[in-house]
Amino acid sequence: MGRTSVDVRVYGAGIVGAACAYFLARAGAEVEVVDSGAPGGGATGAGMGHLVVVEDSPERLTLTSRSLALWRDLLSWIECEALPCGTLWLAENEAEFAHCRAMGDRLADAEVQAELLDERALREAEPALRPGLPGALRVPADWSIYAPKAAARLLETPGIRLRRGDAREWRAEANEPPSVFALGDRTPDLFPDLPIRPRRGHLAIADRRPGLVFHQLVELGYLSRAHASDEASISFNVQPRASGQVLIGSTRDYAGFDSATSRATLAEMCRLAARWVPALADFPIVRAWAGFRPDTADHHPFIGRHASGAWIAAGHEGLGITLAPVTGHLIADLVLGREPIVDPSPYRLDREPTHA
Amino acid sequence: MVGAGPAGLAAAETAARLGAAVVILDENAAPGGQIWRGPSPEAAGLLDLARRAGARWFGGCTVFDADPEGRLWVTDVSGMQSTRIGFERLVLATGARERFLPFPGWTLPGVVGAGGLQALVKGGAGVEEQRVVVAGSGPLLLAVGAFLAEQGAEVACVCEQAPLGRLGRFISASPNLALGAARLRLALGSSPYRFGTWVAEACGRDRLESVVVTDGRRRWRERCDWLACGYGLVPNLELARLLGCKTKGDAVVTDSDLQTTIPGVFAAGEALGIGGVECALVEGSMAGSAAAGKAPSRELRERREGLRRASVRMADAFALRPEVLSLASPETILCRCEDVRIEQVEHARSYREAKLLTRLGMGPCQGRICGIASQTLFGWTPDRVRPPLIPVSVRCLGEEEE
Repeated sequence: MGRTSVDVRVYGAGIVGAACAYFLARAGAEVEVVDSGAPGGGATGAGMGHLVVVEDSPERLTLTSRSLALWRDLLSWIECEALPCGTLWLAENEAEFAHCRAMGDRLADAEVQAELLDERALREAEPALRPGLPGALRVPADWSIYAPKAAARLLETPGIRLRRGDAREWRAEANEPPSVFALGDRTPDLFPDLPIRPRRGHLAIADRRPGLVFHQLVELGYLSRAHASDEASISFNVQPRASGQVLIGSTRDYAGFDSATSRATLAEMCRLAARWVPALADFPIVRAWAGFRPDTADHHPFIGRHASGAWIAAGHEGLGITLAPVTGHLIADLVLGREPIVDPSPYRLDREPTHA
Repeated sequence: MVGAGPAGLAAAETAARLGAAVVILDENAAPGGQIWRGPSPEAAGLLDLARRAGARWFGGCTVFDADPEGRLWVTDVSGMQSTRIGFERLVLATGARERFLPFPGWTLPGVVGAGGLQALVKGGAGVEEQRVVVAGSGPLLLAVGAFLAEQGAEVACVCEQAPLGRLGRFISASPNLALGAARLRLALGSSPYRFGTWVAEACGRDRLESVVVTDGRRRWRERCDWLACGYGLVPNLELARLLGCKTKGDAVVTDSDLQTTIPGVFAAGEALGIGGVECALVEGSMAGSAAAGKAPSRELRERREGLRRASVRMADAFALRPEVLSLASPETILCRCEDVRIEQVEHARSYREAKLLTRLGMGPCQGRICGIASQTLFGWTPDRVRPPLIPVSVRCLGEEEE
């Protein structure tokens, strides 16, 4: 590429920006990453770090499964407290259990391994869950990771330089070097025509008590609340950490950029967690916090070129950590003019938003 | 009133006497706070006066969440049960804790806080015929040394990092303090009180066996069973910050009636900056009066001004020397909860960055020790405070609204 010392500039040192920089640098580009704060200090640090295949739309299935494959390679050398815990999608009733079966079939079509657990198999897999649940779908290849560490490791790749600075320094007229914006929920500060809203989520973490839960446990209703609705919602979503801690989620609402936790929301989230895993009631919570998922109208990310010439990688809602590698790969493909790893058209910035 | 040390008790007594319906909460089972820990006639006397005026006392209650609309969430020592308490006015008398600075060996069993060892002994731990080094900085060291000597400990020495010159000028300008200091010095007996010295290292295989003391030129070893070590006090500001009260440096900002920037929330005592027991009593009376709707008297205001001026002089006299900020080696543990070493964070650009990369300050103590230490060592600013202020059970956090 050019003779300048910077071939591509990436604004935003969250997990998505770090992955963009990584795939660009791996292709031989000299990359400068610019962020005003600590790497991974936004949604990357606030999220659960659940790497998960999601099949509630064909696009999401393609994107998440391709990204998981890239993650597997990355996790062979990135130390980020990765735990191959898998996911259990939990059914509360027979109708949901039937849905689990259909989910498993769709995953199999995409060559993602999944197995149906009946009531007994579920009890053996997760004895702490309340008794009487009809079953679950187990997706063994999902992970939990500590994403800020992953971002920091990606940014140590040769060819990447990190600089403290503000994305507002960028001027559209100066087209060189190409610039990638991975600013998450702050994208509209520079690109007001890109409607990305902060969607607040609460999390609480319990002190180290390993051996309570073994999979990421998610109630099936989570998906429709996350991707097919804009209503405020709370879903049971609990994660074992490599550290032995238990992370409890998850909530969704639109509350602007106020990162104060809501007492009532936290309370309801805790009650829900203890309803699914009764022994959790006695676990000590050491911290609770709220962060923001960068959300688009159709809950799919923006990955592509903006009218100004800037490249955009933002708006991943709750899947930014899962989707970081495929996003970074796709951005590198587009910026460098390579064959794209996936069809980029569903993520174009000028698409008509449709609900998934 | 949150806190039943001198400030909280004085506030409770004053406010109750003025007709307010007063509730006093403290995380300890007995009143008195840190300074009047153990059976304390002062604490019992003030609490008795407050209760006779109608105040209600709840010991063993820790506030883990609060909002400026007038709600406190309180848990018992187990962290398993919680209650909600409403308030119209709140007085924060949350006191202070010791500042610990890391140095090689500081995590060995036998190394404790200066006030920490005093509290242990008041709680029943015996130190008779045990050899103790008291080290760090501040007037507490002399008091602790004297107390331990009275309890039968062999106090090897008291090491005060501040130089004699600075302390001498301060003491000679404060005749009241000089008298108290002289009394404590007598109680310390033949044990040396060494200015301008500090502990550079704690040594031992499985437990503390000796410490290396230095004056910056020489180093020598003192055999000991305990090292009681604290570098002054820092105010407990978590609850004030959670409520959104403005703080400046290590102190809550108030107006002349001791009202914080959150209307209806007052503060008194160490929360306003380390000022000592007399200052806490005066400010407690002022805050209690203001919270009950009566402006504090001019006499109280004037006394407070004098005491606050003296506390600024005291802080200057005991200012930390740069050497004690660089005792830790790269391998020294900084955060005990999460096993984070100095070398893992010394290049971080902020507390937030260090936390994200290493989990510094993210364990059960919530950075109460390493947060203060790393802010002192690296000049970082503290992070936002969020509930729960202390670990509480999922059940507590999930309790239904009443």
